[in-house]
Amino acid sequence: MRKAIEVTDLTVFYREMLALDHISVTVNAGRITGIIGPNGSGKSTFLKGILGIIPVKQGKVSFFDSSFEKFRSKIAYVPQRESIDWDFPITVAEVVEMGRITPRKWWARTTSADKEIVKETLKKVQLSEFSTRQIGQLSGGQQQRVFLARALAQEAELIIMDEPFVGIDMASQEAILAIVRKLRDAGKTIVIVHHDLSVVAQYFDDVILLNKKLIASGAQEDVLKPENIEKAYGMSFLLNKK
Amino acid sequence: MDLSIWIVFIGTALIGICAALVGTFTFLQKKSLIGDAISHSILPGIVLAYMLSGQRTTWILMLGAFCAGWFATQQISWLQRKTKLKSDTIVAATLSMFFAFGLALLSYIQGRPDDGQAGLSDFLFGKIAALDIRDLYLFLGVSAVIVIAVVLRYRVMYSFAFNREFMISKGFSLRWNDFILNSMTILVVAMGVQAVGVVLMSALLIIPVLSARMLTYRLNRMLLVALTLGTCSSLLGSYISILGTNIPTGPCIIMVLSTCAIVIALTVKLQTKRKSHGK
Repeated sequence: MRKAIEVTDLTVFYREMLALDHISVTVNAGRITGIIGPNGSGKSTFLKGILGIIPVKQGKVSFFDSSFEKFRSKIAYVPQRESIDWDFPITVAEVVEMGRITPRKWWARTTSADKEIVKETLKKVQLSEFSTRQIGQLSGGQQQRVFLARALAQEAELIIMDEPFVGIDMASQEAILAIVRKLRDAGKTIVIVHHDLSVVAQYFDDVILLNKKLIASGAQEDVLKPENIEKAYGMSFLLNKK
Repeated sequence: MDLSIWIVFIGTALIGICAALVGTFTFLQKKSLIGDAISHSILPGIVLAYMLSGQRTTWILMLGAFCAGWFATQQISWLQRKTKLKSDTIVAATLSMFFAFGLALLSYIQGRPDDGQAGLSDFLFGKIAALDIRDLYLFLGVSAVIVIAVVLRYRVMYSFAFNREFMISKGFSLRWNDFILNSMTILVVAMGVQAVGVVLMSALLIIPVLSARMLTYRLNRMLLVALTLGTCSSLLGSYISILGTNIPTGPCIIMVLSTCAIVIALTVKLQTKRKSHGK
C-alpha cells in the first residue's frame, strides 16, 4: 500500500510540556485513518506538528515520498470547531474561496474559474442554497461541511480533519461521513482526529492509537483490542464500561 | 475657498480613508488594542525626532513616530513570545510606558528656553489647521502605499484573520502578515495624529469598522460603510474644529464619529426588535 504520510521519531513540546514522545507511524494512502486517544493525548498536536503549524523538537515527516514543502499545496486542513470565530463576518462561499488562495499568487483575486469550483464544491456538500449566509447562521453539521468544501476546493489529495464530529448530531455525522467515504473511493486520503471510542470501528479503516506515545497503529480491527485501548485510555475506562 | 482650507480637507479625508481601511483589518484580526498601543507609544518618537532635528518638519516627526511605533510593536510581540502574560496586559503596560516617556519628554522641552515646544502638544489632541502643502504630498504618498497594500493583500489578510492555522498550513508566513499589518497601522497612526492626536487616534481606526460591522457581515460592504463613515466624520469634525469652536480637531472628529456609531447601533437595535415582534 502507498504511504501517504510517514512520520519518523516525531517529538513535540507544547507549552514546555512533552506532548508527543518519539512517534514513528505511517498513514496509508486511499484510506480513512482515525487518530484516536483520550483528551490531552496529543492528537491535535500531532496534526499541527506534521503540518508545521507548531514547531517540532525533532522528527521527520514526508508526504507521498516527498517533503512537506513540496506536497503542501495538496494538503487540506480542517480546523477544530472551537478554533473558529463563528461571528466572523464571512460567508459560506468566502470560506470555500479561501481554498483557492496560494502563496505563489498571494496578490491574485478570485477568478471566475475559482468561483466555478467553489460553486461545484458547495453543490457536492449540499450547501448551494447557503452560499451567501454568514457562517454562524448554519448548524454544526453544515458548518463542518463548509470546511470540507474548502478542502475540496483546494483539490487536495490529503484531507486532515481535527475533531470534525464534536458537537454535532448523529445524522450530521453520517452526512459528513458519507462525503468522506466518497472522497476515499475517489482515491483521496483522509485523516481524522477523534476522541470518542464508541463509533471508531464504523467510521475508520485504519486507526492510530495515541497517548503521548504511539500505542498501536494499523487496520482498525487489529488496533481496537482491549489491551491497546486499556494502554491508551487507562484502567478506569474499562472499569466504567463493565 | 482658500488653498489652506482645501489642504486641510483633503488631508483629513486621506486620514479618514486610510484609518478606515487599516482599522477594518486590525479589527478583523482582533488587534484593535494594538492600534491604541501604537498611537500612544509614538509620542516619544515625535518628541525625540523634534529634539534631535530641531525642526518641526512633518516627515521627520513621522519618521520618529514610525520608529517608536515599530519599537512598541516589537516589544509587544517579543513579550508575547517570551512570557506567559496575557496579551491585553502586555499591550496596556507597553502603551502606558511609552506614553509616560513621551509626556515626560514633552514637559521637558516645554521648559526649555529656546523655541519652546513648537506646538508639539498639538499632537496630544490634534490640530489639523497646521497642515501645509508639503504635508499633503507626504500624506498622498503614504495613502497610496496603504491603499496599494490593502488592494493587493486584502484576501490574505482577511483569510489570516479568519483562520490563521489554515493559512500557515498553506505556507503563508504569520510573522510577515503581522509585520505588514503592524507597519500599515503605524503609518496610518503616524499620519493621523496630526489631525486626531495620539490620545484619540485609535478611535478613528476602530469606530468606523465596528459601526459597519453592526450593519453587515459582508466584507466589501463593511469596507464601504467604514470608508464613508471614517471620511465623512473626519471632514465634518475638522470643519467644526476650524469654525473656531476652540475644540481641538481630535475630539471633534471622534465626537461626530461616535454620534454616528450610536445612531447606527440604536437603529439596528430598533429594527431587530421590530422584526422579532413581527414574527
